[in-house]
Amino acid sequence: MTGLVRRKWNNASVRLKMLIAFIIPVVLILAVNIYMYISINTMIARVDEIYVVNVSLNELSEDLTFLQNSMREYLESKSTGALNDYYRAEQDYRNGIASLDLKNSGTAVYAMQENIIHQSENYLQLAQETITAKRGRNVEKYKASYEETVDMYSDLQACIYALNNKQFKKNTSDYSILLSSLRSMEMVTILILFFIGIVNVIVVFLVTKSMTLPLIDLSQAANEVAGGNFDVSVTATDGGDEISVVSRAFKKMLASIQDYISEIRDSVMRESMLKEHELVMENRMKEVQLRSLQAQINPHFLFNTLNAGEQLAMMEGADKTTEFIENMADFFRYNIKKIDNDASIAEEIALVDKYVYLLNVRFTGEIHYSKDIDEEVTEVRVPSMILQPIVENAVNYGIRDIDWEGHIDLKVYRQNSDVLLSIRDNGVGMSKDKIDRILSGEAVGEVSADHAASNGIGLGNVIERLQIFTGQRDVMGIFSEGKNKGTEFIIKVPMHV
Amino acid sequence: MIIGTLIMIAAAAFTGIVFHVITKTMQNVEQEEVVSFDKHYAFVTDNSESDLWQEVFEAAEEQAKEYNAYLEDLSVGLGRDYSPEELLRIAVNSKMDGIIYSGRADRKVIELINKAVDEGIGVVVLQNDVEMSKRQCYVGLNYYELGQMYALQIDKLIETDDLADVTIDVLVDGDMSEGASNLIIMAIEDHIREQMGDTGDGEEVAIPEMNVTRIYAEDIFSAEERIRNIFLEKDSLPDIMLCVNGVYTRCACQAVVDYNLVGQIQIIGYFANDTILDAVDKQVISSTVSVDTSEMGRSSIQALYEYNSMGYTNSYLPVGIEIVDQQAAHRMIEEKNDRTEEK
Repeated sequence: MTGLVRRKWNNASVRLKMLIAFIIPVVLILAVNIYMYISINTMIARVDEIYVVNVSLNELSEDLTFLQNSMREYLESKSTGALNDYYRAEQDYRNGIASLDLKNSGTAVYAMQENIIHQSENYLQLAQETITAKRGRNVEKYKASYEETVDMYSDLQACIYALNNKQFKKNTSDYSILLSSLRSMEMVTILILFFIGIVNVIVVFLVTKSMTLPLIDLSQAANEVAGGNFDVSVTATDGGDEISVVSRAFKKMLASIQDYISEIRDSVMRESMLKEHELVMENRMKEVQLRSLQAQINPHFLFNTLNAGEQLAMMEGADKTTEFIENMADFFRYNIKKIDNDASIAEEIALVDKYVYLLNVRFTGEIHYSKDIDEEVTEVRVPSMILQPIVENAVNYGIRDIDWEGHIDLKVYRQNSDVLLSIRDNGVGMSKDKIDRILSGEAVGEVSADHAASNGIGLGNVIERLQIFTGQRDVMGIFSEGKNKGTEFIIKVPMHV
Repeated sequence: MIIGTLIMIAAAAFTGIVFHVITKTMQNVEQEEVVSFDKHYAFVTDNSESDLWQEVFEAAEEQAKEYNAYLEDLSVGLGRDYSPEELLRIAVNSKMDGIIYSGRADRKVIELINKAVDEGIGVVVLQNDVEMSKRQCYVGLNYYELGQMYALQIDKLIETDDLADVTIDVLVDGDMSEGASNLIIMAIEDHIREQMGDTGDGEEVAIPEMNVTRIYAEDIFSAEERIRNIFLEKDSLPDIMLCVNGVYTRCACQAVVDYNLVGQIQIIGYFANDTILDAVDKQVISSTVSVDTSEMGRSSIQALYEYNSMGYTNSYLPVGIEIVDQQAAHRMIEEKNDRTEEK
């Protein structure tokens, strides 16, 4: 039974709980009050009734006096008014006697009432006889009768007085008992109301506490969560009220968030590990690439050898050979020195100059080389070895096998915040398809396949290094108007990297 | 929550019960038990407050209850002291079923008693008979017997042979008829003559001088004053004082103590209440005559009931009397104390 009630209570909504918590005490207090009100009212009504008998006995006594007086007045004056008064008084007195009902007031009182009733009957009869005698002018008789009525009148008054007094004594004791009962009732009521009030406050406190405690718990948990601590415990009750539902939902939500967060953390960790790995790989590749490039160039031996050749040619007085070897030595020295670092545009141009000289020596001046340099930008830093591979490419694939005079034009100029380096040849040109493949890095193998004829650095490498250096994708443009219409390479580097 | 609610409900129920009990008690207070009765009798005496009449009334009331009758002391609560004849008038006008009367026997009383009897009301007269009336029954002492008892006591008290020197005062109630007082005197004289060997041959035998003093209790304290006057006014006080009334006995007793005459005046009393018994025990009063009050009360009701139910009854019912001397008084006091302790 209690379990069922408890279960029902747990499943009840907060509103219903509040309603019950409010209604039960109110109904009880109301019931006690109503009962008390009715009882006290009944008692007060009874208190009021107590002296009713005394009042009616007093009235009876007054009626009797009036009756006696009016009879006497009639006997004295024989006036019709007095006679009328007498009859009225007689009727009143008879009514008063008839309304006496003290059967329930105890034997003594009842006996006294009986005495009064019987004496009254005798008295009224005698009074009537007196009146009749007066009418009949029977002086002797009405005088004697009157004397007798006076005695009976005083006896009756004495008896009424005795009864009244007895009733009054009894009523007074009843009254004091009633009064003390009322007081004790009042006291009991106050105590009970006080007691119910206290229990009521405790019950309401407990009920509201049972309702607010989960809410406080919930809000604290929410604050903790807001502060970033997801490791909080929420005690979700198994009740069916709104708060329990919210508590359970919050607990569920918290669990989901915790799961989600750990999932995200895992994936972020995985991703960062992957990225780290990628970066390491990339670095390694660059390193390998660089080392392989350096290995390709392998200049030291050649450089020392060339120095020896240059000194020999100088000793022999062969000036052209000396110049040739010097240029070649400078060319390779630059390679050794600059391959790891960046360089100024001026240094790159000087290297191109030396390269073109060497080729012209080799090919007996077949290459017509011109340059147009904006001197203001020659100090701009660029990755080293970017111009020479392009010039080499222009020579090898542009103008080597042409029937007409080959030209290579180098132009360096500023465009907005960029510096543009243009290498233009008038060779065989380049198909659109090939340009695309070079720019996308697919044609690396093709354009620098001829290692024998180059210093080993392909266009792909140049583009890649430019991209890493500038941090931009768009670093080189290749333009050709068609077959035998030459090719223009334009390198774009920002003024300030 | 549940416990709290239960506590509150219990408290509310408790209030209900308390209220119910209080209300019930009050209802009980208000309404006495309704007692119906078949017969309604009046008790009319000259002084219903006196111990004698109190005892008689209690016994009569007890007997009345047995017959489902209600005995009412009419003098209670009337506002002033009503004379027995006024009370008798009230009783007659109240159409009682029966009246127990003790008081004067004057013309007015006789008329009232006759009127009552004519109206079918039974009248029983106690102690002093209203001989001339139509009363149904007289319940009282045999005064000759009473006289004999007194005579026996006087015998014990008289030490001298010369009885002529002895004076005896007999204090009787003014209401007592001449016949009754004469009977007492006669009984005493007869007894003394007998004792003295009066053969009835005409030879004069010396007998004590006996004075009958009638005391008319015209107002409430007159008896006491009159008895005091006897002590103050008389040149020579009697040797023996016979009090044929309980009140006079007490008054005389007090007077002998006050005037330091204990032992000089021998008092023979009437009735045996605590004061008188105590006085007998201490020999302030030499002896007293106790009347069987309960028999008096019972007999009067029985007579009325008999008259009501059968239309007639004995015209005289005697009441037992006995002498209470020091020994008997002592015993009675002890018995009374034992009864009180038992209670």
